[in-house]
Amino acid sequence: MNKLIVWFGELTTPARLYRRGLWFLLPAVVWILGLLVIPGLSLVALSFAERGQYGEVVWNFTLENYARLLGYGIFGWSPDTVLILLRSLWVAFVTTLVCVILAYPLAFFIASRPPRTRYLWLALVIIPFWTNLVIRTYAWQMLLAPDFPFAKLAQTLGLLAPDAGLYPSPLAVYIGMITAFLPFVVMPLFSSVERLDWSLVEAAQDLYANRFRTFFQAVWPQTLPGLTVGVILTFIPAMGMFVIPDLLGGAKYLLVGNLIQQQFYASRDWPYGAAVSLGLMLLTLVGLALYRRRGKDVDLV
Amino acid sequence: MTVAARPKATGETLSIQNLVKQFGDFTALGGVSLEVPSGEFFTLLGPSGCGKTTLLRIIAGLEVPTEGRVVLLGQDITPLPANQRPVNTVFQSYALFPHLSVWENIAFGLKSRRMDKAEVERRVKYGLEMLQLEKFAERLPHQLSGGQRQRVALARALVNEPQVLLLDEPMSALDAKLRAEVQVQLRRLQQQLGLTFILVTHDQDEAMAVSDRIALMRMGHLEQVGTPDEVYERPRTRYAAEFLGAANLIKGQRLPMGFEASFGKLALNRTPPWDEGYVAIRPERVRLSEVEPRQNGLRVQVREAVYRGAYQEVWLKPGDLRVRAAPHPTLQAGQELWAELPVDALVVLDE
Repeated sequence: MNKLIVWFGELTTPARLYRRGLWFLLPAVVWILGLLVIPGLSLVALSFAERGQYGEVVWNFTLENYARLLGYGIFGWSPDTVLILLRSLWVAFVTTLVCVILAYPLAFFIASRPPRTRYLWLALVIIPFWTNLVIRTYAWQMLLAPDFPFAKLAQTLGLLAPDAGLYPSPLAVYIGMITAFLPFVVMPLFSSVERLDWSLVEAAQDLYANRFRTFFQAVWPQTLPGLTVGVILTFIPAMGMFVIPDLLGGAKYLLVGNLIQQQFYASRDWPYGAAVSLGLMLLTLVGLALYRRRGKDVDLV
Repeated sequence: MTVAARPKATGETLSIQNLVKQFGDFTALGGVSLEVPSGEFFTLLGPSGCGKTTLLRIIAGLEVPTEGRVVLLGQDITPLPANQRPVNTVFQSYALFPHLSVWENIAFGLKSRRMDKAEVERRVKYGLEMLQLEKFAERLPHQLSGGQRQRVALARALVNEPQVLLLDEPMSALDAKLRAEVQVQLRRLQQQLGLTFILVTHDQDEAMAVSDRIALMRMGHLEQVGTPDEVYERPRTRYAAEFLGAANLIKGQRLPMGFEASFGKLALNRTPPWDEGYVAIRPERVRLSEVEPRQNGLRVQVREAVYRGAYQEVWLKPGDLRVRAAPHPTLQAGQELWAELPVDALVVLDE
């Protein structure tokens, strides 16, 4: 059937429109297949394979990689990998939380500046973000080194052994992570704060609300869209981060990102690396699903 | 018999004393004083930028005055923050909390004050009934029409039983037909509750329809304060005469027995306080006829006549008078007739 239709001023047929639509879809399909679906499936297949003697992949079906992920090794069960996973979850959680707590006042401060200086302040938040992450992390190594004022101060206060540095340590990892991810929370939060409907704040005050109630009823719900973006942009990459814990955490503070990296490089155990990667992905998805559920609740209340 | 001395402010619910508000170089309010007695429907009327909203926001506590005091029931509330004033506001945008249901919105102020549950339930129920919102209690604001939202905003303010209810252009977002209806409802509600309402509007019809008294504002000052008919019938200034109902202004000189305009002499019932100035007459007060009137008659020619259905609008030569005449018989441009400017319709302005 060659029914003629007018489509945005063009005389055409539904069949022709459909074919054209397929052409437009093609790049996206190639992209998703080539860069997401195929590598993803390969990773799944890889995770059920075995490591050969020289680090090559041997295609024998096994569940051993997943057993190891849950902590079962040659010497029976040990909590090491589970600990690493939990620790990664915890570090990502704390990083996100601290970033959110820091980002709120910062976003409000920037949004309350006059338009001319507002973008200057915003630029100050973004500029570090244009610098390579590795370079920034090395900079933290220097700043936290034993003979730098920060470490000296901690030594004087007795918080640190003489001649010790502030890195490698969990604290250094947190500092590195928080500074790396702060812009990811500030930016989307700022865009929400900038569009804030202040008449709701006035209405809350007019209706006898104290500061606390005003914030949680009139401000917080309005910033949720930006906050959600910020939390997701921080939490997911923080879960898999390996550069910062590698450079600032030392060998004892292993996160799941480092574990994966080790399997693909030093240990040459690709099947196990694939299993850990999929475990991380699963954890992230569960976290996201929980957050979405909670987010929905907030919207409905 | 001795009467115990009362504080001076009693009787006036609200007393505005010499309020000044400056935003940088701009003076939004230049020394405004007002007394609003209890139970009055008081309207601040004026064009945008005249300071009426600023005045309302100062009363609400959402703006701090540069100078002056706000006294409520004899108590100086100028230093009190908005959340401690027994005053509630209906905002122009309504400012309903989008994530809260109608019920929760109305309960907001009550919950802020930590009223016990039963009392909150009772008052919200009362508010829902008063404004016919029972059916919408569980809806979210975005599921309501403009008129319903406005009623929620009203209920949300009224359930707190404020001493004064402030309304900031509450009808500007409604269409004309609904607006007329809401004006009547608002007036009835105010009389039922016996509350003091202060309304801000730029719409003179609205002000006329609902108010006990109107304060006409201009550039941060009160131009004239009075009942609707006083302000309409006896405008004191050119601005008041032109803003309300667009009166004809006639310029002329004082005579021993009246007034001389460019087109002739007119008798007045009051001697003007000036040598040269203005008198005003409403377009609907000018009478047109075929025969010469006994007093203040003027031989005129129709310059233009526009048929408007309920009336016809006629421009006359000389004098550029605008007249609102009965629609029949239809007048033609060029037609000659008599116009009478009745003595009691001519208002001598103060300038």
